[in-house]
Amino acid sequence: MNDSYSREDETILAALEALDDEPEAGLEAGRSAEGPQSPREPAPAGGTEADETLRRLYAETLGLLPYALEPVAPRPAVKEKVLAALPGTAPAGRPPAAESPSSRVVPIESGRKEAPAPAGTPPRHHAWLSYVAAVVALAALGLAGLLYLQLQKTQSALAEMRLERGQLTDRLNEQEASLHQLREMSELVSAVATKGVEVCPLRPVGDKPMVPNAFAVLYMPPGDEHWYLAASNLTPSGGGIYKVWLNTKDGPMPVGVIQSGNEASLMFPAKIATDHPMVSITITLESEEQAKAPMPEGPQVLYGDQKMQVL
Amino acid sequence: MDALVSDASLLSASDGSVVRAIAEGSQEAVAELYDRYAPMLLGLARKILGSPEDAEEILQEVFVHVWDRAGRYDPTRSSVSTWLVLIARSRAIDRLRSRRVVDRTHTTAHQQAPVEHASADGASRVLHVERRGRVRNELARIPDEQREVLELAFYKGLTQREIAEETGIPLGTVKTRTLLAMKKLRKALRDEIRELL
Repeated sequence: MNDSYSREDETILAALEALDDEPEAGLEAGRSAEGPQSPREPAPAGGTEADETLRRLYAETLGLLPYALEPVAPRPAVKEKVLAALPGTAPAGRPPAAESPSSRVVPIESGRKEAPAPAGTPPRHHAWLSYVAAVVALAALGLAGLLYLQLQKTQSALAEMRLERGQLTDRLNEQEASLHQLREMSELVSAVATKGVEVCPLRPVGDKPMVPNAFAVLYMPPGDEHWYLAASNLTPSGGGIYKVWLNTKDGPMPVGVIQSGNEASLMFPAKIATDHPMVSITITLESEEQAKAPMPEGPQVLYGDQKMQVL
Repeated sequence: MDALVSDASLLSASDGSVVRAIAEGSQEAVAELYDRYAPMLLGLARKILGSPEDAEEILQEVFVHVWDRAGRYDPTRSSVSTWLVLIARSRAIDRLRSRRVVDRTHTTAHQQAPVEHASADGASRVLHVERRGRVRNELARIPDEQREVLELAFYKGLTQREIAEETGIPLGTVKTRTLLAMKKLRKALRDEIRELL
């Protein structure tokens, strides 16, 4: 063998070459010796126990190769023929048979006729038990595989559902945003379409008004059933009171008194104006006695007759 | 049957115990060993020979041989599994070589019969099924060119030189590929080998 090969390499190549020998030449001790269990052959010249271990390991490696092949179940007849080919007596301690094993082999008939079971061969109950065990084990393996596949499917379905849930959530958020936008637009449209606030400004009367800086606004918000009067800068003037008159087609109608001050307000039911359509509105300054009269008697402070609508 | 291994305990007996029982003359033990290894050995014989009939005859020869030589089996030299594999391989390769001679004589090519695999899984032992999966996986990991030379040596019975001639690859390359394949396999299958020892 080439010197460039290591001892392990040489062992491997030797193991491969030994494949061509009769199996027992490499495996059984004392091939030429007669009788069972002859002493083992010594390790190859120069070999050590380590070499022998290495040889054994590579022999076992080669022995594993056929496991990669698809096993073939023999026909039942083959087993029967194998057992039938065995001599009926115990071979313990006997020398190797003179005749070759192949000379006792029962030829396989191509017609596949089943040979009768050899007489004297006891039934082998353990054989079917082995088959049953193998079948059960394989069934268990198959079931495990099936369950694994099922688990994979379930996980896949869950992942898809999670994805769909995420998509639905996104869509829901989008729809909520759209709805919010629609509401805003609706409110805007509603604001535009709704009847606006009715407003009637009151301004000082005459070239020389009594309270020049005073002003007031009469207004009615949409949907409300009241009029509101807001006045500013109606300062106290000579101890009188400010009285509010609604001038209708039926004549003046008192709707209330407001207190003097920088800011004052008055509220009265809209029904009054509905029942008696307003022509104008007047705030007069009257004394306590004048205030008791059914008609305005004091001078006008603020007057307004232009109703307008403000969006 | 001898008291060494009773009929009932054969099922759980180790391969070595079964072979010892065969050496003591137990036909039941032969049947047990057959049940354990026949599908794998028949698969091997069919891989080498192709012919189902020839393969079945080889299978018979193997167990007749085991019956005759069980007393000489040395467990320190190889596992029972490897012993059986090497017997089956050796006999199948012998037949293959003699067939080649006949083929050359008659100048006709041998027609390989189509392989009709029975569903052997049901008959195989669970251990063998698992081992088959592991050995297949490890073999599949070896580069094709390395696996090819190893299979030519093992299943065709070709020497390194014959492989070099048949493939046209230099002898040194054939040896290198073979060595690499064997080393990788031994390392990858160390657990399997430990089970066998």
